[in-house]
Amino acid sequence: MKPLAELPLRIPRSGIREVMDLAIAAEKEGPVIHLEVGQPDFATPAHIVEATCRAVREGHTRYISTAGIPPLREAAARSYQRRTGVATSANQVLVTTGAMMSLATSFFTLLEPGDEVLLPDPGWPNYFTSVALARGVPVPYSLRAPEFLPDLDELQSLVTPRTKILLLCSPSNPTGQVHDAALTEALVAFARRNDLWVVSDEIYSEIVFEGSAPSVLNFDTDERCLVVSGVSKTYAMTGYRIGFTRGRVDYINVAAKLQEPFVSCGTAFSQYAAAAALDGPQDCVAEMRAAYLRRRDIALDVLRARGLYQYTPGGAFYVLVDISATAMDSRDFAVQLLKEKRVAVAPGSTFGRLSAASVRVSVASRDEDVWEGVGRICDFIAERKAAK
Amino acid sequence: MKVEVFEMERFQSIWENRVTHNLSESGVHPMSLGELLDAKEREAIFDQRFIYVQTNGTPALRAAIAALYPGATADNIVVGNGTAEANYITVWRLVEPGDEVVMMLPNYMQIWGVVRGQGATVVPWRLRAERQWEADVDELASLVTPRTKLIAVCNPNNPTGSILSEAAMSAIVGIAEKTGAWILADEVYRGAELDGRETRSFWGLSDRVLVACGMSKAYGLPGLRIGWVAGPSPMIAELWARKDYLSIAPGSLSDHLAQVALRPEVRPRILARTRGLINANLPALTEWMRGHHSGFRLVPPRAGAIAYPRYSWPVNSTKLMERLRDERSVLVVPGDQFGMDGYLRIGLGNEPAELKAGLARMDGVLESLGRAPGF
Repeated sequence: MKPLAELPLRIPRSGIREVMDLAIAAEKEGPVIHLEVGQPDFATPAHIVEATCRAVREGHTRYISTAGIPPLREAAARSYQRRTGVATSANQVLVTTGAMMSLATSFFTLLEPGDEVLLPDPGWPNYFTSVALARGVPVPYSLRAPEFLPDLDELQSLVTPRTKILLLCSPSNPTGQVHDAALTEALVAFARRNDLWVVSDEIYSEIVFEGSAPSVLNFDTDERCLVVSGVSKTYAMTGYRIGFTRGRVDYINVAAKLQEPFVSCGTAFSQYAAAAALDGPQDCVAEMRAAYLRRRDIALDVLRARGLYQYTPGGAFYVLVDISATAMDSRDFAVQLLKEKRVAVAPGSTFGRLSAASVRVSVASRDEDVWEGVGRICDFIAERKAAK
Repeated sequence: MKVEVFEMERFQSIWENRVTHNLSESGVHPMSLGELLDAKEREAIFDQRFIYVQTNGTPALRAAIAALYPGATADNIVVGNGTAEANYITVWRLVEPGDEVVMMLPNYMQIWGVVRGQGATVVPWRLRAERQWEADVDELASLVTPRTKLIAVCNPNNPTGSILSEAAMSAIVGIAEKTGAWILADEVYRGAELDGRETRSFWGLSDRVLVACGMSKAYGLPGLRIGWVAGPSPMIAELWARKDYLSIAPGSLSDHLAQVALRPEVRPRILARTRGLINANLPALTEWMRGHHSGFRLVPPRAGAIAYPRYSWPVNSTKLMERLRDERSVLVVPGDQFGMDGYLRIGLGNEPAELKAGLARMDGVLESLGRAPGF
């Protein structure tokens, strides 16, 4: 029989999912503290669940427009406008099957084979695989500890005639760091100077602990920015698979067409629920944000007490923990930690070269789990130090 | 400079002379003075004065070392107190805070600790058992950036005993030249190849190569504390400048005895002794491992008096080492000290009877762990 295609065989599996599967298997032998996946531990707020049920009962279980139901496109446009102050209309918004699909459609819409995409290192591994599947070339740019912010000189040195997209993620997964307004403006100006599209992953924009996360939209003078967002993280709706892209109308129309051969269209009742989330009361968002801040501080307190504090993430719900003192490969570290201490974390190597000596801890778990889990991580580092 | 304790050296220095069976060493059983010297030289040794020799090593010793590297002269060599000092002065000279050093791992962790102590970052370049410890040069290419000041390799490698192919060496040099990084090649196990074919040196492959080597491993003369760096003469002069602030000069007796060991008629005899010991011991180890059924998996070493098997019992390597040490008085190096749990480094440099006795004493602890589950 003829073989499977080469490219899908070659792309690596996400190290996060690998540890998650191992952790699920390990649960058969006893409880595991889950700090590996970026998934809020909160239940989806009741009014959103109610809206979901209502939509199903009302028969919203059929095919819908590929670009998304109009009420959700309108709600998302209002949401972008509320957050950034930039006027946005429904036809500038594409609803996608999760923010991942927003990213994937942006790569498929913009890239010719061999075009280069500047991607953060460390960064979410799906950026790399998705660009590769679109036959683009991922070019990592460095986010160096302890600030984990992009360096404009380095970015400039990486630009070639084939560079087409600058991908930004703020607040960042996996570092939790937030670009301030000056940096955001400088990054958009850099893109303009080099005629690059900006794909800005702002999925964590509502989870910022001081002030707000500036959006690239605030500095976008010539519509080169595509702003990716969604409801998964903000409203604890990861399973609903609802994401958005905000961009130029001509881009949105092509990207909508591109969704067809992948998913035909989105899920109607999910989209009605997402509209209810965006237009409904926002107290739940503030409550969850406060909880993530508290848990971040719990994690940092434990790290400080054990001499492993490195930096204070400004948003999202992640902390990178430096394991370099163990000299261990971060995947081995994650596997052994799970086996011996029954704590699941994401190996840093899955996010890139510069986080290969770290693990990512998600603080989207219960306070006591964060406290106990981070403590066990510190114990394990102390036990495995190559030098003491 | 904040220095972390060099765990393996500390552990070895405390325990290696306390246990009955020391299988933690990576060199061969040390030679005695009587084995090294013939009758005439034994007489002459009494005339040696305990002087300060030239701080970078006597011209005669440096010339003898230079003869190992085609085209080199004494000016291309600085002698240090062991390969450790050779490595140290090199890293001290080249690495600044904020730099990156791409380091082959697993490895002797001295450079790792010094680099971290100097406020620079170690970027691991891992050899992987599933590749039979063969270096992945594509991975190296992805790790080296303009910030990479140094690429540190150990070839032949400690603890795996693997040897880089010449194609891999050329690729490493090419990658380093692209960004202007230096290569520090620790070649202290060169000359201890099981098949007797001396490993190609990095010397001469690029003008940004520094080769660290010494008498401790392949020559079985660790107590001499003689090592060296071979490299471009301007850089060697700078390393010498640093050495004056450290140990000043090599010991005069050591300098003299190293010259003897490197004589063209003596060196082959010493290396033949080394090869003989390792080649006798590897089959003994293999047979012992086979006796433990699914307990061990070993990619056979090609050089060095070391084997680095993986074991399948679900026990942490440090805990296993502690039990072997405390219950059986056998010392091995746990994989943890290379950042790799599930492995043990077992020395192959002892007299064969001594190795067999040490391995046999390990049986009791391994049997108490139950039947090996396999891999």
